[in-house]
Amino acid sequence: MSVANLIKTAISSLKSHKLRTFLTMIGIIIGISSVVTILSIGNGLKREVVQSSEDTSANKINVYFQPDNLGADYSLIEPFTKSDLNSITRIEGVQKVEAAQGSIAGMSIVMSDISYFDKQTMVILDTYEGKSLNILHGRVMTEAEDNRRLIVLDYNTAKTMFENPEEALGKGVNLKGTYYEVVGVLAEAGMFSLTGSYSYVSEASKEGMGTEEVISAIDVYINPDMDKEAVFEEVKTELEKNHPNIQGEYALQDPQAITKVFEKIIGGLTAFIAIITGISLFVGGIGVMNIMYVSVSERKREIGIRRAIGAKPKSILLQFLFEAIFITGIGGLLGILFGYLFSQIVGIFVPFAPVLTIGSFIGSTLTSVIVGVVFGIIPASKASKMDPIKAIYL
Amino acid sequence: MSNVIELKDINKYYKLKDDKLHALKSVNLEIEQGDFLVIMGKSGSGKTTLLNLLGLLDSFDSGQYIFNGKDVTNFNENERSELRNNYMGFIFQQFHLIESLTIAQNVELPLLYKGKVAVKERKEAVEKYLDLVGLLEKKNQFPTELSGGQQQRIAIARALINNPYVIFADEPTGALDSNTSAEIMEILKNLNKDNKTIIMVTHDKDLVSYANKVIQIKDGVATKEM
Repeated sequence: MSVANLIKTAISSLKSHKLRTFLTMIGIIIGISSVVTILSIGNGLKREVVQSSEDTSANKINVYFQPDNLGADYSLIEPFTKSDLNSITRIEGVQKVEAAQGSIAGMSIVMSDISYFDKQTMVILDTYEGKSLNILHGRVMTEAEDNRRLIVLDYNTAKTMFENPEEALGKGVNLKGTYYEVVGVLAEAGMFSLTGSYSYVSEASKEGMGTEEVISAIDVYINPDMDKEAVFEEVKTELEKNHPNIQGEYALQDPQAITKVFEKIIGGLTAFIAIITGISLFVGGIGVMNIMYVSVSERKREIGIRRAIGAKPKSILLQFLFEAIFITGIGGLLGILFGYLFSQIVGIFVPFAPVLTIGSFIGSTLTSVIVGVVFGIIPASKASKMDPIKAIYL
Repeated sequence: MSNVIELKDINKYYKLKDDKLHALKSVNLEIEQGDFLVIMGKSGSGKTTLLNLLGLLDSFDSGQYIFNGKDVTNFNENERSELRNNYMGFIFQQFHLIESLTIAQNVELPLLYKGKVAVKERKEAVEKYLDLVGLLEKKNQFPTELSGGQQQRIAIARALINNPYVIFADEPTGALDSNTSAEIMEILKNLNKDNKTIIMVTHDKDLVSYANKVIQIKDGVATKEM
């Protein structure tokens, strides 16, 4: 029997039991629609995460230096030099190399020694412009004072140098041979706040500090068709060759790494919930199996007649299997529709739009067909093995 | 005339709890192309068993079955199904039409199992045989909408559609009144005139007049009467 005729047969026998067929379908509809809802929400969330990080260009890697001694002075180690930039440019696959603005993206920070008579420590300097500083003692410098050498110390530095941070106010501290007057002390940094542990000077006075800005990290732009990891390895080899005695390691900071981790977590979580939800599909499948058993024993005579007029056992098997697949397949498609609608309703209440991907559409359709096969095969095989005589003369 | 069916020393047993019933005892039978064979016997005599065995619906325990010159004794289920589909037609006492299918679909069914018959060809065949039994106008109705006699005529059309060598009829008039019975027998008689072999099981002695061969079966022993 051809597939077209099998489908026709399935339709006409299901038509004669419309209510029963529909009730059996409900199980599958609920199963598939909940899986589709979860997948759509998960995919929507994933896309949101990816989109929000898309401004970091995809072909850029950030190479930074991780000294063995964490307190080391970058200006002494000089992990990256201007000549490094030139030699890295020559590596195959590298489009462009530039000094990153600070090792933490987007911040123009510089490390420096700071001393007050015999007291000495390290500060991380940043420019105060455009930042809102949480002052504990004193004040922030004003725009009018930009050309004066003034500094706002971070709490820890002030404490190390002066014991009582408030005493730092008005004192002159030495940064690389240049004196700065302390005008303010910041409040203590919170545990996760980086900004509270910097000291601040004005942009103009920082340039006048007489220290060359140290390159603490570089941005390498890579040809899109090159493997990032491979190019990084070459860059690393080049840097290690240029700095043979350096104490530490060159490392890769992939701006997309965090996004990828998030994507992975969301993907994993979505799959996990989808599988849990899929248990309801199993229940639906049992329902299909049950109804198929009923159908087989109800239609013993039909099976016998079909066998008598020449149906092979395989034809009978396929007939009942197609019926089961039809129930789960139609149920699956309705489930996808309901799942889509439901996820759109959820989308009204969450800050991102759930997405029904082609992948989850195809996956759900396949799953419902597979459920039909798995739960339909045993009743169908029972039907195919029926003795035609016993089936006719029941 | 050549033998279309030959049974040689057929024995069949039914297993009971701790005994076995000898249902058919050393049956020998020759049926020629164009025969109208009537198998007579009381209920429980084994006549339906013999018919089902001839129709390859049932198996036997010893002996040889030659159909159309070919030994089909050891055919498997698929080969038997194909043989039934291509060379045999069945008519049952209770008509046995499939109720979820229309009349046309019921008649078409053997062609679907045969496979590789084009839609147009199938439609033509269905119409031809429905016309032959005089029920072409009922083709889009369902079996339950027809009378018993009409249903049996549909069953005859279904049995004929693959142009079989042999038609097996198990008490075809058993569920019908005498007028309709006569109509059905008339159709069978005409088919037999066109050289179709017909094997019919009945306990109605009146129907013997249609036959050219009669077998009386009693306690599993077949005796040729005519």
